[in-house]
Amino acid sequence: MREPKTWISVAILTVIALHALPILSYQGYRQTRWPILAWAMYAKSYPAGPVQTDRRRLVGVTAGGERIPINSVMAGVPQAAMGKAFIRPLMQGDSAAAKVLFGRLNRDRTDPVTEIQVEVELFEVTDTGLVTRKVSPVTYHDASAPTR
Amino acid sequence: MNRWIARWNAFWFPLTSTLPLAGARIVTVAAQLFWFGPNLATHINLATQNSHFSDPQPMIRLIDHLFPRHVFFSAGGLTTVWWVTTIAGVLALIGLRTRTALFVFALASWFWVSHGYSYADVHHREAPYALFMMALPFAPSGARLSVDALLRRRRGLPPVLSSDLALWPLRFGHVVLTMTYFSTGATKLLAGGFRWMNGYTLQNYVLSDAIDRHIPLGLWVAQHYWLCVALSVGTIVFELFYFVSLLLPRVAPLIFLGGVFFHIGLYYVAGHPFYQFILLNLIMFLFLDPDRIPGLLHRIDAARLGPGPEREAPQPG
Repeated sequence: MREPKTWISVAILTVIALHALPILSYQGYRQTRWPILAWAMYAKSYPAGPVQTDRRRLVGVTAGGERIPINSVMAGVPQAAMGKAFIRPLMQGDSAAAKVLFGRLNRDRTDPVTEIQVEVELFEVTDTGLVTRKVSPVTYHDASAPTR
Repeated sequence: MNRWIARWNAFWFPLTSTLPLAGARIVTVAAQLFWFGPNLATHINLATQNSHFSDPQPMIRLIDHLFPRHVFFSAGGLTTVWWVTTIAGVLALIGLRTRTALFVFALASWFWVSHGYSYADVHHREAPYALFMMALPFAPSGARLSVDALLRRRRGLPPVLSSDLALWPLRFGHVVLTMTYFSTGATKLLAGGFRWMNGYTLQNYVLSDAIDRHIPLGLWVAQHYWLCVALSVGTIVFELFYFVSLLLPRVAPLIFLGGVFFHIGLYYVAGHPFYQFILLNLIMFLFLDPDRIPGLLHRIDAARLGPGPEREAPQPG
C-alpha cells in the first residue's frame, strides 16, 4: 500500500489540473462545476464614456389593488438569481417566466397577484452628481385571473 | 526525477509542528459553523418551490441520481442533513473523532453550497475555503488542542507534536488562493487588455453594485474618476502578483494582510461579501509560518501538555 503522501500528492495535482477544465470549456456565468470554477468575474472592461447603470425591481399588484415588492423568497430563487431567473427574461418579453412567477406568488395567497411590473430606474454619473431617471415599467397580467 | 520529488516533498511535506494546523482547524470550523453556515429555511424554500434544479452542481447531480428527490430535498431531508452538519461541526471544533468529524462536516458544507448554487446562481466566495476545509481531514488536524489529544494523553500515549503531514493543507489553501487571484487578474487583462484600468470600468462596476446594494461609500467612489483609476491598478497588481507570497515567504504575511484589507475594501465599497477569502488570508497570516503562531495558542497548548519532557522542542525552520 502506498503511503499517504503519495495519495495526497495525487489529490493536490488533480485539483490543480481540474482548474484547467472551466478555462478550456467555459460555461459563462451559469457554471455547474462547483467548487472548480472559472474565475472570470468582473473581467469585462468598459470603454471611456458615460458611467451609468440601472436598478430593476419586481412589483406585484394584487386583485385587491395592493402593491407588493416581489422578493427572492416569494419567487423561490436565491436573491442573486432574481435577475437571471425572472427580471431579465421579463424585460425581454418572456411570458413563460411571468407564468411561472404568477404560479409561485399565488400558491398560498388569498388576494392573488394579477399583475407583475418590472420597474426600472436609470442612474448616470455627471459633472453635477448622480442623475436618476425612471423608465415606464414592463407589465404582465395573469391570464388565468378572473377579470374584474 | 528524484530531485523533483525531493523538492515536491520539501514544499508540501516538511516536518512541522502540529499546533498551527490545530489552530487553523478551530478557526476554520468555528467560522463555518457559526458564521458561514446554511440558512435551513432558505434551503427548504428553494427545494420546495422548485421541482427541479436549473443548474445542478456535481454533488447535487450525484445525489439526485442516487436517491429519490424527497429523501434529501424535502423539509425533513434537509433538516436531517442540517443536524448532521451541526453535530459534525461541533465534534470537529472540539476535536473529538476529529478527522471523521471534519470529513463529514466538510462534505456536508459542500452539500449546502452545492444545493444553494443549483438554482441559476453561482458565486466564487466559498470555493477555496471549501477546498481547504476538505484538506483538513487528511492531515493530523486533531493532534493538538483537541479532546482526541487529551484522550491520547490519558491513555499514556505520547502527543503528536510534529508531523510531515501537518503543513500541506495550509500550503494547499495558499496555492488555491494564489491560483484564484492570478486567474481573476489574468482574465481581466486577457478580456480587455489594459483597458480594465481605464477608470471607467471600475466606475461602472462600483456604481452598479453600490446602487444595487445601497452603499453610500460606493456611490461616492464611483463619482471620482482618478480614485477609480488608482483602485483598478491596485486591484490588478494585487491579483497578478499575489503569487509572490509563494516565492518570498518573508513578504508573504504582508501580502496576506493585503488580501484581508483588499476584501474588506471590496465589501465597504461594492458590497462583495468575500468573508471566506478574508478568513483564509487571515488563516494563512496566522498559521502558515509555524514561527508566527499566536502566543495564546502556545500558552493553551503548553497548559494542556503540562510540564515535562514531552513539551514541544523548537521546530526546524
